[in-house]
Order: sequence, then structure tokens, then C-alpha cells
Amino acid sequence: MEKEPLLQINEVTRKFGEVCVLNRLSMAVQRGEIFGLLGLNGAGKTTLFKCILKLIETTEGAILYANKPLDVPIIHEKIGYLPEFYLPPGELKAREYLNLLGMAVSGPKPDVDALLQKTDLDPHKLIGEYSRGMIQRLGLAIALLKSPEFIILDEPTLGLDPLVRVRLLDWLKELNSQGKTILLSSHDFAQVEKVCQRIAVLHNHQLRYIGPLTDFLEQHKVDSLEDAFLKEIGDIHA
Amino acid sequence: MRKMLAMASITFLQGFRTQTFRIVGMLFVAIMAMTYTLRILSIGHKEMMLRSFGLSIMEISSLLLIIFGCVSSFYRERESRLQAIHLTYVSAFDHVLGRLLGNCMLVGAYTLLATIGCSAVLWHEGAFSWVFIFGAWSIFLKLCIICVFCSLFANLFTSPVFASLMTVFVYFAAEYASYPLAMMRRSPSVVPEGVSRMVYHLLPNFDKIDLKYSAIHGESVATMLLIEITLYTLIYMTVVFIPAWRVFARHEH
Repeated sequence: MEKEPLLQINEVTRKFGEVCVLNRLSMAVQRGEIFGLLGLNGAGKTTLFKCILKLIETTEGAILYANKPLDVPIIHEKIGYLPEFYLPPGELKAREYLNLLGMAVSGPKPDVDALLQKTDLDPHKLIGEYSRGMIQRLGLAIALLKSPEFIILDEPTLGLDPLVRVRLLDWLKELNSQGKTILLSSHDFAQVEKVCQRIAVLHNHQLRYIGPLTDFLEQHKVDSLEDAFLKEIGDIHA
Repeated sequence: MRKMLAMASITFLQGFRTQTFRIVGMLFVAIMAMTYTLRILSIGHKEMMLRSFGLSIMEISSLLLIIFGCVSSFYRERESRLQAIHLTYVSAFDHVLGRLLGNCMLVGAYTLLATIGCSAVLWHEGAFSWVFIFGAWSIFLKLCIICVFCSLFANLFTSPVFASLMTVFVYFAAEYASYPLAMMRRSPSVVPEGVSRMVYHLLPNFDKIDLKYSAIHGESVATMLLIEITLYTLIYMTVVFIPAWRVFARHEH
């Protein structure tokens, strides 16, 4: 049975001058799923995320959230976001930063200690002294601070070592089992295969596929997502 | 309110721990030490010289802190507003006011530390006067006005260098706006005087706010004057804050 769509992207186009980065893109993310957005560098994944978050405006089209036009208060209340290159203030300590951000969160006070424990971060160290992987984990903790129902993760495993990557994926599954809807982009196809139920393939600024991951593999008669993806975009090595 | 205070606290802590804050602080200490060493050259005016240099160095170094610290702080997240997203719903008003308040707190903390340091030196030399504190307060008020201009320019212009230059320009224009007005009063034509008067009233009247002269000469300051200059600063800041907030909100949507 088809689930209820939580985020609907209808005919969204985004142009930068004459360059069309997103061309009449339509897709829907269903409530309670982990949805993977795949594409080469420059395909428009981050631009789409920025359009969803209203960090940039769409040239045409509409974005709906729970069948309502997505506006800034909804974004701030319901959506958590981890950007690709997250740069938190290096002069603050993780606990300080989370506490200050938590101060502004509406509703119940977030459990900063639990988040720090989950991310395995040293709360007494300055953020500027953190490694790339630690900053990614901090970014995820911040995205979860307001307990959003929809989480957007742009390359969440970028720069993470294998152990941390596995733990992060387990955490994503756990969040999903708690009812969170997750939209993530990644170049790590093995990771996408492990966690995502449905995927979309963005190539040359257009949507080439959207649907269940298993159907995508069947359609291309291959076992790995990477091979299927390369076939889809017409790579001769596939 | 909580969201605005969270933004202000983050801005303050960030600014307080940056290298810029330390460098500006060291610059202040170095010039103050030099002033202290050279005090013997001001025979008969040692106290006034120490008070004058103390306040002037405090003002100039705070201005450097605004130019190199606060401008970059305003720019840091102007484009992305990521912090605001993390902070659930932070309105443009809370965002701009929080950043402004944080930077004013930063300048306030710097002025306070500099005042304590200067006062200790003055005390040691028997040159301390309570009016010195009022002089420092007037410097803080002037710098708060510069901070709000800094916020306006950071929201108006895409280049931080241009915003910094404009901030410096406003500071010096406000500092010296009373001189052309005094000169034009002697002009036979009404037009130049009218223009000078208009410019003078548009710019913050630093000549009225500034209590350095009284502080240096140890002249007492009326409580009413202190209240008036504080109120004037608050009203002026509100007037400049409104376009800064509107420009930010326009960028957002």
C-alpha cells in the first residue's frame, strides 16, 4: 500500500542565470521512510536541498509538506538539516553550543547529554579541534536537537572512518524506527543500499528514476546499486 | 526572546574567544604600557594625559574590534542562516537583533575590561576620577551605534570589505560632522549651512554623546545628561536597526 507523502516536490525548476540546475523535478518522500537521492557531483542534489530549506528560491514549481505549502516556520519546526560541509563555530565547546541552541528550541528541553553520548563527542573540547568526522557527528546531533520529524542529510558519511560510518547508519535506522523520515544524499552506494527503502536518481539536472531500490536493481538486472546507477546514467563501463 | 538570547550568546562567545579579540586586547595593553612609560614627559599634565590616552586607545581599539571581528561575525551566517534553522523558528527580527546584541555585548565586555585595566593604572598614578567611568560609558554608547551601522551594512552589501569601509566612514563622519556645521554657520549662503545641518542630524551626534572631555578634565557630569545620551543612543539604534532587519528579511524571502 502506498504511504502518505510527507514532502512533495512538484515541477521544481531552479536556474542560475541561463544555467538550469533543476529541470521540472517532481518527486515525493513518504512519511516514515529513508529516501536516498543519488547523483554525480553537480547533479543538483544540494541545490534541491537548499530549495527545500528555502535557503535559495525555486525559479518555478512548488514544494509541499504534509499537503501544505512549505514555508519557513514549518522548515524551522519540522525539518532538521545536516549540510555537506558543516562549519560550526570553532570557538565554542560542543556542550556549550548544543546547550545554547537547545535554549532556543521550542517544546521540551532537548537531552544534550544523551545526544553527546550517542555521537561519542568530547564535550569539553573546542569544536575547532574536532576532526571532520567529529564535526559531521556534531552536525547530526544539532540536526536532531529539536527532534524533527523530517531529517535531511547531505552526504552524512563524508569523511567518516568505517567504524563511525557503520554506527551512524545504525543510528539512522534507529531514528527511522522511531518514526523519523529521512532524506539523504550520498555517493556511498553501499551505504544507501543498507538503509534506503526508496531512491531517486538525478542526472543532468533531471530525475531519471524514482521508486523502490529493489525495483531499480531488477530493472537493470544487476546486484549492486553502483552498477545499476552507472547503467542508468549510461556509463560505458557499467 | 529565548531564541534571540541564544543567538546573542553564541555571537558573544564566538567573538570573545577569537584571535581578533586577543590581538585587539594586546594592542591596547601595548599602547597603554607605552603611554605609561612616557607619562613623565607630560610635566604637570600627567593625569590628564593618562586619562586622555586611556580613553582614546580604548575607543580606537574597540573600533578595530568591530571592523575585524563584528563585521565577519555578521557575514558568517548571513547567507545560509543554518544556525537559525537549527534553532527551530528564529525570525529575521530575532536573528538580526540577537547578532546585534551579541556584538554589543562583545564590545561592552571589551570596554569593561579596558576600563578596569585603565582604572587600575590611573589609580596607581593617583589620576583616577569617577568621571573616567562615564567617559568609558559614552565610548560604549558610540560603539553600540557603530555596531548597528555595521549590521545594516553587512545586510546591505555582499562585500565584507565594503561594509567595513562604510562602517569606518560613518564613524569618522559622525565624529567630525560638527566641524563643517560650525564653519558653514559663518557662510553667507543659507544652502550650505542647511545641507551641513541635515547631514549633522542624520548622522549620530557623537559630539553630544562623547564625554571624553569631561572625563579627561575631571569635570562632573550631570545624571540627566547620562540618561539623555543613553536614551538618544537607544532611539538612534532602533532607527538604524529597522532597515537592517527589513533588508535581512527581504533577503530571506
